Amino acid sequence: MWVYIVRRIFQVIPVLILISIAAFALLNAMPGDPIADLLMADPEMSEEDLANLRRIYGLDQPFHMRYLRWMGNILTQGDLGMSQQYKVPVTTLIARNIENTIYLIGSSFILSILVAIPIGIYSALRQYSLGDYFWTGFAFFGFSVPNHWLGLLLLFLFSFHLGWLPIGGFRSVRVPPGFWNEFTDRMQYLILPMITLGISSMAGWMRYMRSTMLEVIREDYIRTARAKGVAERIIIYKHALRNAVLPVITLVMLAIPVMFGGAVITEAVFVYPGMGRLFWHSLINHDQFVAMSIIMIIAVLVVIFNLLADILYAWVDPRIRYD
Amino acid sequence: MQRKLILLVLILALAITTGVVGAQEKILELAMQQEPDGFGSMFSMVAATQVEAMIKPGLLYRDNNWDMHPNIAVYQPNVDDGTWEVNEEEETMIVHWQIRDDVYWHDGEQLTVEDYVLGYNIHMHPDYPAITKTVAGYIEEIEVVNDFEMKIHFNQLYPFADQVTGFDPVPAHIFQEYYDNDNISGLVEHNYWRTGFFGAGPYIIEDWVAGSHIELVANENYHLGEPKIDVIVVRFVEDTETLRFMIEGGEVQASIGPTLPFDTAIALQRSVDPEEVHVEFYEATTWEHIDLNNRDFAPFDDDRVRRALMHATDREEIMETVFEGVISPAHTFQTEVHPLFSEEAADIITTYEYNPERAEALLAAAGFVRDSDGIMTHQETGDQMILDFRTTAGDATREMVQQIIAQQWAEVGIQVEINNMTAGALFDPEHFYRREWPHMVLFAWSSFPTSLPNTLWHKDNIPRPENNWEGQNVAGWYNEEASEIIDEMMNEMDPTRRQELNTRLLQLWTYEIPSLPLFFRVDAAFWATNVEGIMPTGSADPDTWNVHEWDIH
Repeated sequence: MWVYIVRRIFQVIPVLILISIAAFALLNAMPGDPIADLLMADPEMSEEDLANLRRIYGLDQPFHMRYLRWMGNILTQGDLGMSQQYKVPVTTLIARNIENTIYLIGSSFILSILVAIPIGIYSALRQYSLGDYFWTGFAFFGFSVPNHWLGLLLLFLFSFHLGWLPIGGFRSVRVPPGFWNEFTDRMQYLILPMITLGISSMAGWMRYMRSTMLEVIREDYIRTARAKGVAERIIIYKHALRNAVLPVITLVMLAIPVMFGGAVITEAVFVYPGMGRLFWHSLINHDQFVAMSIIMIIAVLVVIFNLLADILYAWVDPRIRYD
Repeated sequence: MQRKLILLVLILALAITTGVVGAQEKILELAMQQEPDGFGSMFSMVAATQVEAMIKPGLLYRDNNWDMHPNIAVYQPNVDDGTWEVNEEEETMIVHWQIRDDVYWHDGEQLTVEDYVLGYNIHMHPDYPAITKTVAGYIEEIEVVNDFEMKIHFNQLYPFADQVTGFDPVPAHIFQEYYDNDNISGLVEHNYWRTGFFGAGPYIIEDWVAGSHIELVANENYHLGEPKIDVIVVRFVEDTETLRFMIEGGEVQASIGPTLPFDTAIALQRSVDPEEVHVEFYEATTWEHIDLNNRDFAPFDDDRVRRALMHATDREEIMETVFEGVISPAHTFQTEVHPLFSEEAADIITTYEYNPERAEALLAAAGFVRDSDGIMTHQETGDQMILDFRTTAGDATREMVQQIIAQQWAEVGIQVEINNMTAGALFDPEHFYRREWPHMVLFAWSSFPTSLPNTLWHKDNIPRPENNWEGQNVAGWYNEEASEIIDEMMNEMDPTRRQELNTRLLQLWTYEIPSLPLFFRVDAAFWATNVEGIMPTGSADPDTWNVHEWDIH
């Protein structure tokens, strides 16, 4: 197993290098010039001002020089570069946002799993029942509803109309000290974005769980277990679920990196400062090193979660062996 | 005895309650659509300017009538009393500033001229990424007279030297060491410019939660008077609809620029109770217009064609349809409240009323007749009036204006092909300054009360291969007399004479009409009716200029 993990890690290094070159080239090819954009706000900037800023930020260097310097600094010093917009190291900027994103994605992920798996099982076991139809309808709603619309709807209903939850933000001003106060305060702000972000993955996983479960419960070994008189609970949770959940593991694991960068709209609607919003800002403001760093973080996460999915596969399915 | 005791307890309880109520903080939650990326001359965001003025005011401030008043300075220098010496022969100047001796940084250190000298030195350091060093670059040296007086020596004439220094003071007790050790990168990365920012202003940063809010507490020692509101929480709400919910729901009590776009603001105005929320619309200095490619498309070289386009545009209808008549059309590139604009200019400039017959007549005089498809075509060259029209894709207001113009021009035989692009692609220097747009582009330039027309209209600022495509006269207006006037304005210290020169320039400009002026953008601000004192400037100067006088009742 360890040999397999080490071998996989070595395999992904060239992949990550290729991704970094491609992403750097794509960002570089994006139309627009961060320095020239400043002129729109202040047409009195002189050509010397523009040239000076280009020199300071290294934008007067050719593409390959900028890439090599950036990559060299990462490999030698762990330095992701300097944000042109905020004038702080990119690591500082990411550290400031990543905690919020982890809360949001983590809670949304847990919520989706807790809802999707049991309901998927329920729908499979009671196929074509009223409950199954209801959850099927719910799943289609979850698939098709745009995050922005759902977010605003929830805000309107629960925050604006009913006044149960705050309208946007991620914490109150002047929270009384203490873990419990901070926790409850953060949770108030987290509930709506968590639901908004989680609903589409919840819908997808619910349907997936339902279909894999339906497949498994029709297998011969399940029929055999029933014929042997094994209790239905044991058949479902010990025999069927363990097999049915296998493809869901891959799906869920690969969804995490996507959620990581894909919470842009949810974060914007709920004024929630996370990585998605930071990524979006870095793109519209041509903050190249920030955008590059986030792309690379997502790429690394994809690799890690792929590996994790494979390892979990082996753990859940004893038939799989890694040599 | 028992009754007396009860009475005493009641009185005590009342006193305590009154005391508590009396000590209750006045808190204002103020929303903006942007979060400052930092403070100081390295940053250029509008949001940063609004918040920075609450924390670190300048030598002077501009009020809502665009009049200047001293803040940290004791007076505004002027030529008459000798505090602004102008040597026209040698083209040099000395501006004598005196600062108050009762101004303290928020950390308790006194603000002195030393902080200004260091601010200038840092600003001009080649590795310091100031947004612009243009004005500070005119300075030869700063002569320190004493702790509270300095003489700024300019090596060229600059007409706004009585208002603008081009650099900010920095706390020398923190940064002198960095500067002396040439540690500019350490200085740039210092937390001072972000969450640790402080100044000598009416409010002090108590807490800055990135992505959420900045909490500001009143500086009771502020030299212009203790602020009336104890705490101002500036909340950053990017999403337009969410911000609207917050204003309607009373979660924030005020919102200043950058805030809701015009269409949302109008909708909000209709839905709120005017007894509870005040909505203020005011004309800003951002000039929306259509730049014509005067250099590369031959028909635009003929001023009759440009004037025909103006007569073919019913701008009153655009203002009515898009802005519900809140604003009026612009006639020049300069707003009428600009200090350079005079009443005489208003009388003398050429204005263009909507007159499609006149537009057709002008096109006919320029050699255009309608072809079989009804499109105006030049009789000799065969140039057709099928115009490529570009603006920023996704900007709803601009796209709506563009659609209306396209319809209006169709009536006089001018066909428009809309070819909108993202802001990044449209303003990419390779596209924008090289005039890779064949005919016209709708966009806006920002300006300030201290803006002179040199950058936009001087012939030397036409981007072309000889000057490496540099300059902002992208319409390519070439007029010798106009350029001479601009040169003279740049060196003219007398505001009345500057206005006279400006009037002639506007006369030339409006007659030749190298760009089509549309309107000055309208901004909105909101506040609960129990909040008093908010007076937006509309001038790109901060709306928070009088924040210490804001109050809540």
